[in-house]
Amino acid sequence: MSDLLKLIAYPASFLMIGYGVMTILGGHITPGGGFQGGAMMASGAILCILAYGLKDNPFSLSHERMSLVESCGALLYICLGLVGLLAGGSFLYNVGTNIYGLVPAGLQTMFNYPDALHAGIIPYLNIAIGVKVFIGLTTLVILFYGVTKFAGDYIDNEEID
Amino acid sequence: MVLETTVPFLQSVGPNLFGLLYTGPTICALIIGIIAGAMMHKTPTNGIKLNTSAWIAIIIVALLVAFWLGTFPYYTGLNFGPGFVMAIIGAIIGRAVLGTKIKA
Repeated sequence: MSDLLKLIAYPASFLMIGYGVMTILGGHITPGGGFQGGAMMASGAILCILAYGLKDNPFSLSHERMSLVESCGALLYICLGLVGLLAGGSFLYNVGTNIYGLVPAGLQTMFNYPDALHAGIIPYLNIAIGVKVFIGLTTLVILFYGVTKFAGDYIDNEEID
Repeated sequence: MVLETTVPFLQSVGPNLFGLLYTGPTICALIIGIIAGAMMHKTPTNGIKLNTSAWIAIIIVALLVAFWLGTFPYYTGLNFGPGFVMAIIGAIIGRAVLGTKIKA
């Protein structure tokens, strides 16, 4: 890629990550949410992959680190669901708002998200999904980018002719 | 018992700082930013090397964009998008603290 694109891509990725995080955090009161915000965050990493390539990319795309972050996102989602199951009787019961009054007061207060509308565990679920989507979409692009290296193996002009 | 006493106290103090800022989303933005910054290389790669002025420029642009965003998405008295700025600051901190070093 050109030097101009390389100059812009990395600083722009920070702004994309900021937009993504903002979309995640406002997901329960505005359009957007975990998936959309995670995709916006992933677009920052994808821009860097396209501009710098896989080798000189400023993002650390090691398997261990990516699997760690993605697993943490999935585990947070499952743990929040299990808290609802244990305290409210159903998976992903919103213990922060506690509509049916099934949850102890201390637990309800602990999971109550302190914002304008007190959405309970919904923002935490958005965060878990956002982190997982951020890594998941980045992994997809890495795979596609890596496959293009072997494009010649799949296109046999002689067979097509 | 400790949680039942401390968490309501913190939430009564913290959620809406002087009617201007919701601290919960701001802290969450910082945490997600740190996670995103931890996915970056600490040392400069062959493709890019940012000096101090470049980092200052990124923060200034982030502050300008946050000002133009206004109070979105939490309509508090502060005419500023704190989640956006805190996410970028978190990414810079996460990169500096948790970023990986490239072996020469």
